[in-house]
Amino acid sequence: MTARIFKPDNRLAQVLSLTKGLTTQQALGAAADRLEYVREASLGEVDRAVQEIARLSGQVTSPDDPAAQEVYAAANRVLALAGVFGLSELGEVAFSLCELITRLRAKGQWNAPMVMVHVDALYVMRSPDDHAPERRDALRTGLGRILEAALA
Amino acid sequence: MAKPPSNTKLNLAKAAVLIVQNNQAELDMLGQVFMGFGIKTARKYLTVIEAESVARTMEFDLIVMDGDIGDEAFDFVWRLRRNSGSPNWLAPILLVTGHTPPSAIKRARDCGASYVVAKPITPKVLLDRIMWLARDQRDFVECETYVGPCRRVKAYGPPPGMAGRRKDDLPAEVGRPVGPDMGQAEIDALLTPRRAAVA
Repeated sequence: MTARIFKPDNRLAQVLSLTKGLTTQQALGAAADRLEYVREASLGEVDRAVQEIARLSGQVTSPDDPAAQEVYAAANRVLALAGVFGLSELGEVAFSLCELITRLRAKGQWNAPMVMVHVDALYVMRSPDDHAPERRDALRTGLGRILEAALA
Repeated sequence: MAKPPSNTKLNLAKAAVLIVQNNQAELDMLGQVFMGFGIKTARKYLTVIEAESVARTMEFDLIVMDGDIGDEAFDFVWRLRRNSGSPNWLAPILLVTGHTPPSAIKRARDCGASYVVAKPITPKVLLDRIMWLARDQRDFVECETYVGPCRRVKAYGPPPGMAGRRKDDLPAEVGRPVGPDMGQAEIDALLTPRRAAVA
């Protein structure tokens, strides 16, 4: 098969209008308003995912355990939702947990204490205003060290 | 690609969007963001099977696929790109992913997605990517091993260590100069004259 290279019609280009429609600021404002409709349900999902992580993490003994994949998937849900609703630090912890699980899988060795520190950090960052910024910074730094150690 | 001017307006009212996410919360969230952008037609699905069924007959201006669904998501994009009879084989496809190992990112790119975006998908991130895709002028490549937008997003030439495969690929080695050097006056003539700022 010979390669065919061509310019396709860009359908999305038609949506940009210089004369009518929403400005980018208006569009972002309207989207933020619409997000309020799902804030409660989304944060409820975040809470359920955090609880699921806490519950399952204690059961995992090996990176091949199916529960490890469930923890990973729940952390992925947290990272997808938390940052959209002003909980970016919670999202960072969830990302760190996903990364940790990926590294532990690569090593073929589970490390429960490393995971449990992440679980504690998730609870802290779920209510960031209850904790001093210095403490949250220290926590993030500590999680970074854990990730480095997981590579060793 | 140039950034859009701040007074650019969007009119997404007539755009049709297909959204596939692996959980209800993310699906609802993205749906609300698109509604905020003014989109009237958003089809939302939790499974690839449902999405694929509707994509066979309905034309979409944008497809947002959740890479966290896994193989099914990549396979959906791969099949769509290879089905030139589909109304959506050339549609812009935004693949959104959570924590994703590099191998999955490579797979996302190679299945024919137009763009891969990391979660969380805030309204700002989504709008930026929609604008980027609206201005996307990349060629579309159809060959045995790949169908989708040209993966050479930046003009770095052929992939490292590979000879060029296209007629407009230039070799990495620079040849010897041909013809006389340009004089300063000739160089100046190529540049737009500017008023000098004097302190």
